[in-house]
Amino acid sequence: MGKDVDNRAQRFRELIEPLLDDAYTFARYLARDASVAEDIVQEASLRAFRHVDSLRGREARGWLLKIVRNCFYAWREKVVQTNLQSLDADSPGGDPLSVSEETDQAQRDLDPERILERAVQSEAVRAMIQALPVQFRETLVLRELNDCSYREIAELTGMPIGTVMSRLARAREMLRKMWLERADAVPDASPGQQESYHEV
Amino acid sequence: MKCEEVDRWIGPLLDGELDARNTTDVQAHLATCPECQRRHEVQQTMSSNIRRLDLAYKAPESLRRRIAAAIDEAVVRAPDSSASSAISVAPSAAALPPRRRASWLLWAGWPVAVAASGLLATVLLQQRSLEANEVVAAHVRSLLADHLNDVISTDRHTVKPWFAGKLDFSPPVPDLSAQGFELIGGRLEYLRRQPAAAVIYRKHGHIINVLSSPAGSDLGDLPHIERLRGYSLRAWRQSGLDVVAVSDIDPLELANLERAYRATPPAAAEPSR
Repeated sequence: MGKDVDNRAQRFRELIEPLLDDAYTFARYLARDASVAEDIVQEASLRAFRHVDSLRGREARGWLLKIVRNCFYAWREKVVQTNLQSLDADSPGGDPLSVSEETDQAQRDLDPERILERAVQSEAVRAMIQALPVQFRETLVLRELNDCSYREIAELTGMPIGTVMSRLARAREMLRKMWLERADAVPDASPGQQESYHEV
Repeated sequence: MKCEEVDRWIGPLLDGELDARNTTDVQAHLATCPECQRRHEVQQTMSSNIRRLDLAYKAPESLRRRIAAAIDEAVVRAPDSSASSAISVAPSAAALPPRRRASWLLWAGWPVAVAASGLLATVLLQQRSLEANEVVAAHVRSLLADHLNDVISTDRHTVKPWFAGKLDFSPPVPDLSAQGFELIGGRLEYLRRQPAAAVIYRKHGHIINVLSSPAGSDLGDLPHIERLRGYSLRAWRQSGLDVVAVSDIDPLELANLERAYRATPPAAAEPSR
């Protein structure tokens, strides 16, 4: 018995530990709070440890991110139920289409030059991503930051690929709008050279 | 290809997710349509900016250490905890590295969060995942074998009494039509070596099996939420019964279902005769 646990610990160190940055990034964007994200990752890791045997032949990253996601939603639900925190407009499972309205106003935003010139600092962009409603936020983060394929996202969220695509498109559209608004509000938020945006 | 359609494919194209045929079509369109070209360029600029900014986070060292410590502890505790029998998955917050214990209280209703380490927890979890398997198997069987309902009725006053002669407990059969769950029938199941009631609902074409059996056994140790082979499970304990809902529907719908179930007072769940 002790041996099984040893083996599991071994597998955990090989397969899961290298993914903790991924897990934390995802949790951090979902929860929008550093310590909650830590709790979520810790819980997800312990779950992953217990079930690491079931991982055989599967892709570890998607599997772990899925557990992180479950932990996040469980936490979120507790928060909603206990009403300890108001959770803004993050209504669960909202119809993506119901959120959309514009498109025509997007016309004037369709200038690549403006986006390039008015590039914004990392922290500001992080805040923008975190401002997205949860169902768009998670899709965007999985794609752009965790570098998941559409199929991986579909599998780990349980959404059809078509939904993944439409949520991603919608998330990007919202982000682009915020990006431009921010650029307009703070005209020299950045001097314009991409090189200066690297963060350590 | 029309501009609207091209617009839809620009993201997938840039993500490298578009199949060869559509890629050719989209590129052909882009070559001739300045408007779509612009959209394409905007998206590309956005995406590459996001990537360049390196917005990912690093897991804090302290977190890594806590996780490693919890795993070590599980390894150390494994050999001797086999002595303890099936009981007290007492909220052993003490087993967790001491940080922000208050936040764990928030999770207290969540059995899994608590079974932090040690073999006992492992055994229970393995048992639980067997049960989760059993629940999913029952669900799949009900769909495959064309044996969804023993009693077909959309009326809970028909479904609930039907169970009366067959089980020694009375499963809740709430009317959830207000929440969009349509009652379609009931069935007897055999779970955990004892008879269980299956009440079947449907929403948006998804079949949901709600299985209940007397509490006391370990089904309560199912996590509140679990995904297994593409199915969602949701378990809770209610008026002395262990209830677990299983379906291929969005897990959030099962959360809605649980909430509605719990909101049904036991008396109201009785048929009015």
